[in-house]
Amino acid sequence: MLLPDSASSARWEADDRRFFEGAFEAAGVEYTIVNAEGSAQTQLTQAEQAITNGAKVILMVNLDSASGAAIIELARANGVAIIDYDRLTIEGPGADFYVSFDNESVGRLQGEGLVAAVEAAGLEAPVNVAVLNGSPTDNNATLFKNGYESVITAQFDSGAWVRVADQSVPDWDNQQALVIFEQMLTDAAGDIDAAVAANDGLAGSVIAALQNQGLPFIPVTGQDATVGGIQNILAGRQSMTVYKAIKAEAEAAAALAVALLKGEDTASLVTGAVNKVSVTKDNIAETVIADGFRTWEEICVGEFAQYCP
Amino acid sequence: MSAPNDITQDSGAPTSALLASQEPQTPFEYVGAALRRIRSGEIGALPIILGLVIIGIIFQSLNQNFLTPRNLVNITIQMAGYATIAYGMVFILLLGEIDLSVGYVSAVGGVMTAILLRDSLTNPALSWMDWWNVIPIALAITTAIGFLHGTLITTFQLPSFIVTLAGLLAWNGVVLMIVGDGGTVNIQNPVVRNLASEVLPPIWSWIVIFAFVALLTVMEFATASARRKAGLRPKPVQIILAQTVIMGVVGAFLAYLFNINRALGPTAPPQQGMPVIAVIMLVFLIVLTYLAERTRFGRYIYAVGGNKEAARRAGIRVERIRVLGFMVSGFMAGVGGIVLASRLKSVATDTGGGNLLLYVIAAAVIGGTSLFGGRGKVYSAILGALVVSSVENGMGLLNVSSGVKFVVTGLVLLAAVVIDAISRRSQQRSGLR
Amino acid sequence: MSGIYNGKPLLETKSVSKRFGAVQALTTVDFDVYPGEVVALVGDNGAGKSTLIKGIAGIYGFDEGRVLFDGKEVHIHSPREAAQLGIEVVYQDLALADNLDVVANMFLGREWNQGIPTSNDAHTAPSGLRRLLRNLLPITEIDMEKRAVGTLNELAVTTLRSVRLPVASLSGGQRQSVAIAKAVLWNSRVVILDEPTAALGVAQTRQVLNLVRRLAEKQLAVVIISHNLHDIFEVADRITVLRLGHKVHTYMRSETDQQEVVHAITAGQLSTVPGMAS
Repeated sequence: MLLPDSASSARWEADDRRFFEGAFEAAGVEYTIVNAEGSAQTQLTQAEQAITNGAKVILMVNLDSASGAAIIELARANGVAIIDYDRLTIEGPGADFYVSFDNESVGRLQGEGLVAAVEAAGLEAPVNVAVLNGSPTDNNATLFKNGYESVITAQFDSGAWVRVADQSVPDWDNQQALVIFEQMLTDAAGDIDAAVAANDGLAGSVIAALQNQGLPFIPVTGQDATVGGIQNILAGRQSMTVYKAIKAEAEAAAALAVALLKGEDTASLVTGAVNKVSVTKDNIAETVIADGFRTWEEICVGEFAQYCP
Repeated sequence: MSAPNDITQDSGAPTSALLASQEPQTPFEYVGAALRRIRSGEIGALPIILGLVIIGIIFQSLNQNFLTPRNLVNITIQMAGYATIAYGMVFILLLGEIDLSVGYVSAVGGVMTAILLRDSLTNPALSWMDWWNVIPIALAITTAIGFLHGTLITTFQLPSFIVTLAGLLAWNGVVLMIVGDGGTVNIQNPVVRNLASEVLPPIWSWIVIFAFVALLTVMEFATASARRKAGLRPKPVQIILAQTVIMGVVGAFLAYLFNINRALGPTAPPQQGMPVIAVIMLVFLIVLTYLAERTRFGRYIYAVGGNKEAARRAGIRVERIRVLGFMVSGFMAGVGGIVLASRLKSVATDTGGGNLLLYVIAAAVIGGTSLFGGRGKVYSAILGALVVSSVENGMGLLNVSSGVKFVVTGLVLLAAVVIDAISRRSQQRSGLR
Repeated sequence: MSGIYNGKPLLETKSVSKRFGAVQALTTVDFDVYPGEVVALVGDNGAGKSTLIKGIAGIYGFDEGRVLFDGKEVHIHSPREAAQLGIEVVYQDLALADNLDVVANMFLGREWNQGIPTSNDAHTAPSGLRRLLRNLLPITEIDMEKRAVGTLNELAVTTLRSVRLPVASLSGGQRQSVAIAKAVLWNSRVVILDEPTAALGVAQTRQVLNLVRRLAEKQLAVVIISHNLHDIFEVADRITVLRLGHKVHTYMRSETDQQEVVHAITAGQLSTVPGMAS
């Protein structure tokens, strides 16, 4: 199992690692999980070592499409099965399988979430909307944007919404997002009614900026179902977050890998896209809590306890 | 053989006039000496003030919101995190060292504060924790990290570049581990939450700024009179008065600026007064400037950065001074981390990353602190942070693409090191006979 | 001139020896210097000049022999103890911090503090709270500057434009003058100068040699190491020649000439070197 890094997202080390370990232990197969820490060169070396050590199946989260293609060719030349995990390797011959969320549909959920939240807030046209995109160097950020733009462009075209600002946040850096959103507010003289934020961290920046200026909260989207994000949703500061069932994604990929390893039939396993859910105030219990992804104990802390069931 | 620069000239015949002279300097002579210092490479704050004017003109012409009271206060608040961490970086650079770990050490400070305050709500055993003891704990931890780096560097004679590079990785890992799989941690404690957004009642803008200007002026006059009494040439009264007038005008302008209602839109509550965070920056400026320029400790920091061997022969415990320098850096990183966490009212796994380290080093260097050790002032941190934040702020206002942002930030950094190198060279030219 | 030698020597070594592994760097050397005179220490490379000086300055101890200061036997274990006795060394590479001004350099490591009694006994290490206070209380710049200017004026070092200029902006001769004045500042009684005129131009060399003479006039005992015999004959009262770790001879300047000294440096007065006489 080749992981990409620990900087672009906490999920690789915090979530994927433990879910894969659990699934592989349960299946009783031998495995190693390594992290390339952002270096494509390191990842290639790790793939070579894995093959040398007798790996039969490689799960890979590529760092970029070109280096991913090189690893796929290497695996193929050595008769090793390879699965693209979460990120698709577009270039080259392509992996044997691809297991992922559909990132564009994550973006679509965010777009739909914002439309619903704006409606629920009863905002009158024209609604001034600011857009905070993810890192310009992260392809997934582009996919998210494609997703939410496919929903909200219609609102802008109809004149119901006005796009007052649209900026990317380098490295998904929350501090920079804070400055960027403060400047969006300054430029718009505070008149921003709703915001697309590509993940919970960026949503947190929007919320902090509003609080620092003594402004009321506005509809804002998120992603990743972080503890802070869910607390903000409960408190009415954030409209929604997208919960990507990382556990389900990891388990699907692990099941596929185990089947390949044991030579079992894989056709029954290929069922299409993995779950992702729009989480709002109303369905926290049925989604992240029911899945065991989050617990009420970690969420209902201090002032947030009053919003908990 | 000798350059036509009169500072460096040795006239063979001793003319005893100069050192023994007790006549007060005329303002004209004083200004002349200052100009000579600038020519010999001690350019001080000059390029920054020039740079700030250029930045102001460019951004204001592109977006008329740039030089509004509201945005200028925005810049003041946005620079606070960079400035506080850069204060510590100045001490490191003065020593001729580098500290690449400050970004994530600051994150340790911010994250420890957030986590301990969170746990005080959930864990009955920790319910005694509150902002007034959590902040000292967090600062003690980051200071201890500085102590660790300094001790490793001096004990094993390792380059600080490598040790703090290791620190950069290790403390990033520690931050990831402490934040855990929750992703983000909200800060609920009202004091820490509001540290970065609280403002003082408007009257206090005048009180603080008046006190600051009065303090500096009184000190200048006291020094001048003591020098006169000791038979040394005092700074001319006219110059002190001129300085006071300039500071007074700038200060009054700032106080006026802080007290304009900068609320956004008619619905927002009125916002006026000096941000608490500005006062904090000012207090650290005063305390650290005193430490660097008026105490033995500060003198030794400069001496070690200027000539380690000379410092050692003078009986200075060089290794101890270096360790203490890294402790100052760790402490200030902790302060900055708490300020940044307060700004965001939360911490996350990416805390301390991004451009933070780059901006902090850039702030110190742009402000005029040399990367080569021994030259610089504490105030350079605040001036440099002002430049960095103005650029970041202006580009945020302009809605420019990330590509443009990266290019501009890179150019600003480049300009800073080029200025440093040029001033160093002209100092060498005038220094080597 | 001869009046100087009626009293006791201020600093005296009695048959000191020093060995580094297999190398006998110094063999039973007697050396002395009186207050108010300049003694030159000459010899080829490896003759033992630096070994003798470093032993006196407390960088390392001698293996054998005694060191007398003011007629009393002393044991100098560190540069700090040497400084406490009043022995100051001005090293060839000056040991000035370029980025600090003249006053800061002259007082480096022994700054005066407000509120704490100043003492010339600068190298004593106070402990605990006192040390903390000394490091955090304000430095009394004005008193220091006054003293620095006073010392420079006493030594007639007058070409400095200001004592508040960084040392980096001074000429080589000025820097050497500052380094020497620094050694004198601390009521020192013996000043040892290691190659003070190396790398200086003609005018600057003259300036420094004048300064060296003035130190002797102030009743300091001055030891000067130099390769330049011309300079030495201009400034020294006596000339001690070392060769291969042995003392060859000490000449009165008035009774010798350069030729004799050169001969002593290169060939030695072989009869005085035990085992070398043939």
